[in-house]
Amino acid sequence: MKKTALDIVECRNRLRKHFLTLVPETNLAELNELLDQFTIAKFPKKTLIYKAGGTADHFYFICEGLVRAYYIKEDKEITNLFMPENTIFIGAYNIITGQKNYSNYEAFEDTYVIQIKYERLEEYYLKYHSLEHLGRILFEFYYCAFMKKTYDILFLSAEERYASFVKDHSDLLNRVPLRYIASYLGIKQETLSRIRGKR
Amino acid sequence: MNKHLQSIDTYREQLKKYFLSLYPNTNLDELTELVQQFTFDKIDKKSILLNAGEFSDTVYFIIEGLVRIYYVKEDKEITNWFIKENMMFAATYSILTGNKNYSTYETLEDTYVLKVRYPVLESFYTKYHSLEHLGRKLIEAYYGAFMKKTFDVLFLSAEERYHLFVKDQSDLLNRVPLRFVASFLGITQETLSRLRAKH
Repeated sequence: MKKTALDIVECRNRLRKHFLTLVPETNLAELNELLDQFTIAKFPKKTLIYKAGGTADHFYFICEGLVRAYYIKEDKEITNLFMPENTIFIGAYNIITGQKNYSNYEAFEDTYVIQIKYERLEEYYLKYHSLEHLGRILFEFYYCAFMKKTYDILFLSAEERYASFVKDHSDLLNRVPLRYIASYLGIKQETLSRIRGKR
Repeated sequence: MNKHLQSIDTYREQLKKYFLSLYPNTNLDELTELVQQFTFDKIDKKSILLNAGEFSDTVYFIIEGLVRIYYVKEDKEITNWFIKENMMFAATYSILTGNKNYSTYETLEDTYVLKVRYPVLESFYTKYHSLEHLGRKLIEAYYGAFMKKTFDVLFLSAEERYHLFVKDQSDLLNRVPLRFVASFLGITQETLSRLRAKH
C-alpha cells in the first residue's frame, strides 16, 4: 500500500472543513469534540470494506483514495457509486432500516479514511443540538444524492448522464476503467465509447 | 365530501401519535407547539395537488384518504407511491434540492390532511433539540422507504413484490384500480391478474 503524508490531524481538518461547508453554523467546540473521536484506518486496494448481506456500523470519511459501491444482479456487477476523497460513506440502508445491506463497498485504490462507530456518532447528535442539526442535514444530503441518481437514470438520456458525470467527476475518468463508468451510467461500454467519441 | 368533521385538535393528536411513533422521546410540550402550526385542509377526490415540473414546500399528513404519486415516462404513467392515512408526504426532491419536482400528486379519494410549510418545520427544528432529532428520524424514514422501494424493484421478482404489497397494504387492493397497482409493482396488468388468480 502506498504511503501517505496524511496524519490524523490533517484528516480531521479535512472532515471539519467538509462539515462546515455543509453546515457553516455548526458549533466549533462541539464539532472538535466529535472529531477527536475519529480514528484513522487504511484499506489497501481491493479490500472489501462492507459486504452485501452484512451490516454496516461505521461512518467513514475518505481522506485519500477511492471506494466503489456495487451490487450483483443476475451475475453481473453493477456499480452504483464512486466515492473519492472528501466523501462521506455509510451503509445507509442498513443503518436506517436494520435490513441487510444490498451493496458491496470496495477500496478501488489504496484508501485512507477516518472513522467512527455510527452509534458513537449518534451519541454526539443527542448530546449537542448543533451536531444533531448537522446529522439531519447530512441525511438530507444523502437522500438527495440517492434521489438524484435514481431520477437521472429514469429521466436523463445516456448522453446527459455522461455529461453530468464529466461535470461532477471528471478526475475519475482517468482513475476508473471505462467498463465501471458504463455500468454506473447504466449503459453498455460500446455506448459509452460512442458518446465519448462524439464529444 | 360528507365526512363528519371532528375538531382539529383530534387531528393534531393523531399527528402527534405519528411523530411519537418515529421518536418516542420527543418532548411533549415542544411537540404540542409544533403540531399547532399545522392547518387542516380537505381535498376532493381526483384533484391534482402538485404537477410534475412545479415547486412545492408544503408537507402533508393524511388524516383520512389516499394520494397517488406518479411520473410520466414515454407517455406512460408510472405510479411510484400510494400514501394513505397516517402517512406524510411532500415534494421532497423539490424541497431539498430547490429543483422542480419529477412527480405528480393526485388524490384517489376525498382526502383530509394537516399541512405545514417546510420552512416552518425547520424553524422548529432549530428552536428545539428534540424536534431536530424528530426531523432527522423523519428524513431517515423517507429515505429508508425510498431506498427500499428502489431495491425491491431491483432485487425482488414480480411475485415477491406482489406478496409484499398484499402483506403490507392489502387494504389498497380494494381502494385502488388494478392498473395503478400493476404499474406500482412494475408489472403489466395481465401479470398482476395472473398472480392474483394464483394466490
